[in-house]
This record gives sequence, C-alpha cells and structure tokens, in this order.
Amino acid sequence: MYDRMCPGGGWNCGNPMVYGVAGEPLVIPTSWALLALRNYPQRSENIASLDWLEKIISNIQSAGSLALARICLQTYGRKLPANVPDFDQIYRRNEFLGSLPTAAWTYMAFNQKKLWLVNANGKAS
Amino acid sequence: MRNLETALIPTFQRPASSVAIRRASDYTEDLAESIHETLREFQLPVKGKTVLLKPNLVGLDPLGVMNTHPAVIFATRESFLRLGAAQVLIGEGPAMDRDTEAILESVRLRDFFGPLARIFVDLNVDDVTRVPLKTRASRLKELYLPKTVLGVDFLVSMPKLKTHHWAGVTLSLKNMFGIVPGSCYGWPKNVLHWAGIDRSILDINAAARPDFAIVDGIVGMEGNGPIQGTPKGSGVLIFGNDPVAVDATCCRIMGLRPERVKYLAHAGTLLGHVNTDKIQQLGESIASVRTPFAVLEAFQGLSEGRAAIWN
Repeated sequence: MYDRMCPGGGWNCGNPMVYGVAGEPLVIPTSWALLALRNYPQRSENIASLDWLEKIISNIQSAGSLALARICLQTYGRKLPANVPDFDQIYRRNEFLGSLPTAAWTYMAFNQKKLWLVNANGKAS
Repeated sequence: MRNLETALIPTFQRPASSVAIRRASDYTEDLAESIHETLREFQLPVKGKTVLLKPNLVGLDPLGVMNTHPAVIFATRESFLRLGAAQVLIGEGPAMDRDTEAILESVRLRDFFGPLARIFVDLNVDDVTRVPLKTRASRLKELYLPKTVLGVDFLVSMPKLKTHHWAGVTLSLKNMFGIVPGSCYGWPKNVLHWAGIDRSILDINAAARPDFAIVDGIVGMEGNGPIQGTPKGSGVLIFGNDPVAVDATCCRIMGLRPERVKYLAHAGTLLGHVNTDKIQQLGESIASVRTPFAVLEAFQGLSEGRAAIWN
C-alpha cells in the first residue's frame, strides 16, 4: 500500500503515476488506506497523508467523503478543523443519492460511542 | 424494459445506421433547441417511456474538460421530456473515484438540475441482476448489472470526445464501463481491466447495448486521456442510433481510423456499423468538422496517414 501512495501523500484507486504524471489523491481511498494502516501512526507516509486529509477536509462537498474523512482523522486522534463543512447542509443537497454505504458511514462517523473501530492497543478510537 | 434482441446482429443483416453531426461552438449556446430538433428527426420511440442518460463523469473536474458537460446533459434531458418521455433519469458509476457525489458537485450538475436525489442513480451501488454473456469476448461468463440500466425502456450513452491511454479512444461504447457496478467489480473496475479492456467493452455492450448515443465534442480531450489529457475543442455534437457507427464517425472527426481501434473493429462485426457505406450521414459532413486529435505514442498507428501498428 505504501508503494501505491501518491507522491506527497494520500491514495487514489491505485495509480500513483500514469505515464509519468502524478495521480491525484482522493478522499475515500486515502481514508480507507489510513484506517487500514492505523497501526503505523508514526510512519512518515501516514503523517503526510493525514496532513493532506486535514488540509482538504474543508473543501469536501459530499457526504461519503466527509463521513470517512471524519472517521479517519478521529481514529488518529486529530482534531477536526474549525471550518469542516456542515454535514446537515450537505445531506440536504442530495440526500446521500440513495447510497446505503454513505448512510452507514455517516452513522458511524457521528456515533458517540465509536466502538466499531479499535486501535492496535485494543482501545476504542 | 428494453428489447435487447437487436444488440447482436451480423453486419450483413443489420440495416444501415444514421449519424448526425451538429455544430455547437460552446456550452452557452441554446443546446436544447439543437438537441431537441435532432432527436425529433430520429423519431425515437420514447413517448411515455423511461429514459436513462449515461454521461461520462469520470472524476473531479472543476475546469469541465474531462466529463460530459452538464449543459449537454441538461439540454438532452429537457429534449427527451419534450418528446414525451415519462421519466428521464441520469445514471453513472465512476470507475476511478468512489465518491460519485463529489464528482457531481465538482461539475456543478446541481446548478442545472437542482437536488439530484430523485433523478440521479449511482450505478456503482444500485441493486444488480446477473446477466449471462452471449458474446464471451472476454473470459467473463456473466456480468452483474444495475437493475436501473436493465429496467429502463431507452438507454442513451453520452460520452465526451476523448482519446484514451489504454483503449485508444473512449466514446459511447467505452463509456458503458460506467454501468458496471464498482460494488461488484471494484475501482477502477479492476475485474474488467484484468479480463481485457477491449474484450470487456464488447461484452458489456452486447449485454446492454445503448439505444442511442450523443457525444459531447464541443470540448473534448486529446493525448493522455481520459483524465490527464489536453482539452481539444471540436465544436460538435454527434448523435446516432447505432453506438458503433457513432464511435466510428467520432474517430473520423478526430483524424483516426476506426477500423484500427481494436474493440471497434470487433464491434463492427456484431454490434453495429463501422463502414461508411452503412452509415447514413446527417447534418454536417465529417470533412467540414474534422479536427485531428493527438494520441499517445502507443496509438500512433490509429492516426490517418500513419502505418498501422498491431500489437
């Protein structure tokens, strides 16, 4: 997975370079990759990717990406920036486009107990 | 429900196809009138029917150069409604980016349509039906396809006029990769890539052949398409009742030889017409709108005036 990381951090669907041109990272694959690699929080790749996610979260305009980015940053113990888009407003635009996965991620992102994901040390994140 | 019995017909038995080329210099023109008039000429059987528009929405595109432009999608939807369609849905299952809503927001589709929840179907997460493949061009024996695609009465492929770094060109046939659900086949539809892009294009289109195609060639993309290429204006919209004939015509407009595009050469035997003597040309002539597109080194053999490269 680290070999497939985009230059500068983050992941897309697995093509960091295409014909010599750097691929752009995307929120959902980056969040999934970081969650899968959450046992290595000190690695420079994780930190660079988290920094990228933290930087762009204020520009996210879709419910699915916002929910997963939120889960990911919280899992790593990072504070959400103050200018994170209003989730309720984003939901009202397109109502998740009827996507069941997006509805599920949203529930998980806003579940106060957060018992669904544990870190390597066994603690709930 | 669509009649798919006409999807596979040997070329010598298939009646001639019609393709229309219309000029449109930019996206601020009155596209609805031009599109409506052209669709009316084709006398499409859409009255009281459910129509699904399948644009090419591949990625975040704030500059509007890689995706079918929302102005074209909007004008097409309005035109089908004016022709009496009972319902006109829009559906897409992007291959590279899992976040369909983010793509829709980046192309500002909502600015044209308002809230999208009632008219847009994310084909990546739609319910699916197993469809056995008659063609077996790839090693796949079956495809799981969205129920929305299989359930509508009339399917319209609406690609952008683009070159493609793996398939040569991406037009109305390649655009149908986007009906294959990522929830079953992964991103970027990896199973299809492993089964062979050219062969998968044939299988998908044999299983769910579009009834009509409208290509956004107002601004297309040349070079390292479908995402990282260079914008290329051709100032045309291409329409047709045969996706193979439409794609062949698009190639000719782009200065490319359609019979040298692997999947088009094969599609020309069963799915539609490639040869000009079987394509009735309406509107502008190909020569009058011809705009040569640059292709990557591996596809130089597609260009007119170049020797063929077979690999």
